[in-house]
Amino acid sequence: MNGCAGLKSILPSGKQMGESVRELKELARYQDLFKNLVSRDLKVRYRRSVLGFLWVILNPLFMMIILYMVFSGLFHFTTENYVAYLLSGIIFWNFYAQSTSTSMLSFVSNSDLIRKIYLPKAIFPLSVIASALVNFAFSLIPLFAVFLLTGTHPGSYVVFLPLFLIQAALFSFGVALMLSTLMVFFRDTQYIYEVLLLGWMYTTPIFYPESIIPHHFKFILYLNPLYYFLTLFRTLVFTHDAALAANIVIVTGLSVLSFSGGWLFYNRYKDRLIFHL
Amino acid sequence: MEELLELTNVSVKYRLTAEAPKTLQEVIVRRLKGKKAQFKDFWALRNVSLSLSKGAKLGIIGVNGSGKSTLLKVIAGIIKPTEGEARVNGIIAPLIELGAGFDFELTGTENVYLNGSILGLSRKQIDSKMDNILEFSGLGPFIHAPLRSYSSGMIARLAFSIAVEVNADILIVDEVLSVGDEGFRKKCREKIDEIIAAGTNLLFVSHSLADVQRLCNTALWLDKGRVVEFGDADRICRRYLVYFDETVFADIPQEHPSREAIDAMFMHGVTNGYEVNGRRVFNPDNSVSRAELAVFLSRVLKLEMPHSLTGGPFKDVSSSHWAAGSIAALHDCGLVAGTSDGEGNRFFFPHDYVRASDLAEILSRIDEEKLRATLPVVSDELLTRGATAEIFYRFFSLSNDQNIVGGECHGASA
Repeated sequence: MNGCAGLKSILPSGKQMGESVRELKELARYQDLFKNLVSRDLKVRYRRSVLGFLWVILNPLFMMIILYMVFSGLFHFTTENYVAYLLSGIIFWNFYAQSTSTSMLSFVSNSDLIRKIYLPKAIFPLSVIASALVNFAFSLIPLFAVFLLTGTHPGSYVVFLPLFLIQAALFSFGVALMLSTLMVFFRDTQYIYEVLLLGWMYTTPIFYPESIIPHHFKFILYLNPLYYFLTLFRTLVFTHDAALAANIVIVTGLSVLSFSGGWLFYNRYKDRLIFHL
Repeated sequence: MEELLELTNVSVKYRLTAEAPKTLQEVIVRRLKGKKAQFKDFWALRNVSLSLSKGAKLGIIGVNGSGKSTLLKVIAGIIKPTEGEARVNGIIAPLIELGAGFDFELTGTENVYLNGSILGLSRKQIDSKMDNILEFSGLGPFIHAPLRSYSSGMIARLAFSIAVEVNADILIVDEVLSVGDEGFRKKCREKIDEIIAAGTNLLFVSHSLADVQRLCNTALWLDKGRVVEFGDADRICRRYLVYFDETVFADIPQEHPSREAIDAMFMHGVTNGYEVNGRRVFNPDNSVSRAELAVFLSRVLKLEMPHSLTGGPFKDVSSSHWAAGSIAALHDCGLVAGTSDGEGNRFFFPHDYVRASDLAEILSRIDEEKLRATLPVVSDELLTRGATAEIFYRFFSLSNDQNIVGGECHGASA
């Protein structure tokens, strides 16, 4: 009885669904603002640094070099093409970690604006995800450069990369909506997520091969949505070995699930945010 | 005709955040201690109904925390009412405070695009307004410099220039007129006047009642989230001024002994004082002429002016005299008789000064007992305006708060 009522309060009512759809239209109405916010983000980030956009390329390269020196020496990983494996992991993880932890703050840091003028608030996390996505796309340049140097062939699966970018953005946006909404109510969400992110990073096969995980701990891997994303990403850019179709279905499912969950969560609380900002 | 703005029983409830847990950690600690989070509800707005049609210029007044800003936010769509309904037909442009929505790393032009799109303009619309915005802001070549090199005045100029170019149906002005240098302030005021003249509706929140009186035709007085009064801007500002002990007259400071009496005179519309260089003064030490006293009395007694002033009762008060109506009205109800010259002509001597005994004599004709109770000693000295106010205050029991708080909302359309 009690559980039933609890479930009812979690599931959105018809009215809330309608409201959620209307909010999507509002978001579309402000598309010019969305473009301006994304370009502002990118401009501000790179205008004042001497190397500008080069940083997007250099940052994962440096990280890869350091991690390569640490891990290849330490563990003697027997992974084939470890450089490509490592770099693809870093690039994807950077996108996910950066986009979610930056957009988590987007309601709080734009509170000045949100308190003074009507806007569809989701536009703030969305624009952060979008600019992180642009960076993600640019950081594919060093990846392919390394491929060129090491003689790795990306293969024909690469045509699915744009789809993958959309899936990754959708997934991150769902997480971001949930985090940024929670952040308004509980300011320690930030610290909790930081710790969570650290643990998450180590349970995702970014710099170690999947094979080092003992069989009875494999379930941790399978519970981790990012594992599927990363596997698909690597399949697309260089490994070509996993079951592509199944992976695309799983990742699409995860993205849609994350987005719709986050969107409904945000819509349920969006009118109350203003009182806590 | 469709109303521009329609609020029906709007209430907004806040949960006092000082009481509510701010972090998950607090929530868990409370749960472990078996304490349930205690919320204190606070109604920032309670049953506010309001309807404005085109051409309305509404000033919202009230002390801090009376719900002014909450009301503006409800109208702007930032806050959804907890109860009731708010309907707005038209585009709203808030003159947002300095710098909100600006990015300091971007140049002036880039900020125009950013801020314009925040206000809901498309890129095309901004393109077409860019020249006007640049010209009005007067920033010249600085428009291509990043905002962090601007002074606060320059930022205010830019913000104002964008907001006024939005061509909104409703312009929300929240205490923004005090920005920039005097030259730009003047330009802003002229621009706002121009926008208002063009038929834009104005919602104005200010502590400057003079601005409300100047810019608005309607005023809404809020207190503790409820509507105290809604109606003519001038009348409401007057009552508000006195009620909240603001300085009505520049020469009557808080500690002036006759302040209460003089404010009461003002609030009841018995005197307006004089306007000197934009300041309102009372001149409490000046003497009172008989004509002036006649005006005071006719106002406090709410006497009706005679329809025709020609052939008035006194030979020395022509029909064009500024106090002719009041003097005739006092004569008609038998309060003043004047002096006869023995040839059938009566004289009022309107420019003679009044002595306390003269006033006492007139008041005794209204209510002798009350006079004895309120003015036991009558001197023969010339009355000052301040002393007159004191006598009126006591004799006519001019209270400072009658019918104010708890008054009905008239809810009429502006």
